Amino acid sequence: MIEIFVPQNTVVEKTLQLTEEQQLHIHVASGAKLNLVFESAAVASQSYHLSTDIIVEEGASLDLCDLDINGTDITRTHDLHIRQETNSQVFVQNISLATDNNRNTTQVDLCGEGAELSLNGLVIAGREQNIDNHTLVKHIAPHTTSHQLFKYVLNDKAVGTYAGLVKVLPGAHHTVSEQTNRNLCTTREARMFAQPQLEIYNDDVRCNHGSSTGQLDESALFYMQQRGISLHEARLLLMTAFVGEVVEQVRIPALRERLHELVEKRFRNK
Amino acid sequence: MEGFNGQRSTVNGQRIKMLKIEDLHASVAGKEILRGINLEVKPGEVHAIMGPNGSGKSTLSSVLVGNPQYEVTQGTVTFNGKNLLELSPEDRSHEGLFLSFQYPVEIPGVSMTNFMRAAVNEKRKYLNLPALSASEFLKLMREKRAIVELDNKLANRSVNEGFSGGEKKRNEIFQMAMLEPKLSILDETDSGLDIDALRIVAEGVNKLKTPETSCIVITHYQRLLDYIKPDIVHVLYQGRIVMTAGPELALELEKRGYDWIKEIDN
Repeated sequence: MIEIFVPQNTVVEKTLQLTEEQQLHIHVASGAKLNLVFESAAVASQSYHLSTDIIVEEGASLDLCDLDINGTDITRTHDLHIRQETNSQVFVQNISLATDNNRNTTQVDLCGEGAELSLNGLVIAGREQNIDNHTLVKHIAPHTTSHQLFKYVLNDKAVGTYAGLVKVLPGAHHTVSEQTNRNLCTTREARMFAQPQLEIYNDDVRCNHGSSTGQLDESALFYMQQRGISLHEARLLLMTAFVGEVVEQVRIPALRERLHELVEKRFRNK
Repeated sequence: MEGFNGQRSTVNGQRIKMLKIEDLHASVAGKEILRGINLEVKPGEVHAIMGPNGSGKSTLSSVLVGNPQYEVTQGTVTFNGKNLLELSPEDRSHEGLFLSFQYPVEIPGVSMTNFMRAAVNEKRKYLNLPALSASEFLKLMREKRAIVELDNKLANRSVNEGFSGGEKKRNEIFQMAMLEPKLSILDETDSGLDIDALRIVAEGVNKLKTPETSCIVITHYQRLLDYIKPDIVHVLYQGRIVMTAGPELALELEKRGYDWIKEIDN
């Protein structure tokens, strides 16, 4: 087990990069700031479980990227639990690019007033990959905000699941919550299961949620072909553009650049 | 930097045909729209195709560029000696065929720059020319943008996304300038344009014109033909070309409408 403690008002300037740890505890004390990239490094034929617990205290900020670039024949599950206190800010990206069977279960408790969460996910899957994202966001204190954006591109016979529940508990008035899930199935065999859920036990909140699953835009593909772009390249351009929205929201410039490269590489080696 | 238009259009001093359509039949969703089109276009010519709504004008342009929604059931199309109907849409483009779309498609998230770079370099690859360097490419973009007075801001945006009707049509002609086609089909490029935008678009087309390049202008109205002068005017009705004449035909259609054509044909 690894424990990371960032003391009060400490700003960790550099992005901390960790290979996966089976058990990880992170405590970002009040006013502190931490950027963390959590990177998979498993080689072939492995099955493992990860558990991460995080506390983000008052006024503290955490940027966490969970980056899956594993080898093949791997089953991975990751339980991530985050507790956010007053006026804390958390930005999580779950990026799934490689593992055969990958399940991220993410729970965030917005316990303090003014806590803000962005929880994004990007999945590019092919072969017979099976990628799940289960999210539970609990608005416990008033004036809390959560934004979720999960995008999937499923090629070949890949199967994706997004099951996201936003729960606005009694007393969490002035909650703002947005939950968006968009998916592309590029083959007839690819499957997406989407279950966006919203439970509100409170008045005076602003909550939106939506999910859609579709195919590549045929008219856009043909338009590009007419300009001489091959069908293969046109598809790559459309898929890259589709997931680009998630990559563009990454706030650490070097990480954003790297993700653009990883996405391009992932699509080209399909 | 070599251009795309190296090919000569004369053989032993004789002008060869660029496009030859013979007895072309095509349908969409099982419904026959084109019912025996015959048309020849030589290098340097401007042809106007006019006709009432639903006569098959847009179907003809879609079939020529290989839109998979349309099925060719009969006939042949030869383009610079090649069997056009056997080529993929992208190879038709590489061979020098360009369509200015009636409804240009918005492609969110794909920048104009990346889109044009992919298009230009795939064409160069097809023609065994080396890819353009970043600076050569940007220089080319700058030069061609000026032809249709397209703002740099638009060039930095996603393809057609949030463009006004006029900007979309100017963007079509910009792409035409970038790709230097041999035959351009302008499918109702005048629709939805105010008079200033129409003038800019038409002047752009005229600036791109050379004795080697041809143009098929599909339109309802004479208005565009005041700016882009046709050599030959055809009237398409119920999937066939029912009348072919000089530019004076367009003026007559403007005056008399299409009803008299329908009567002659029936």
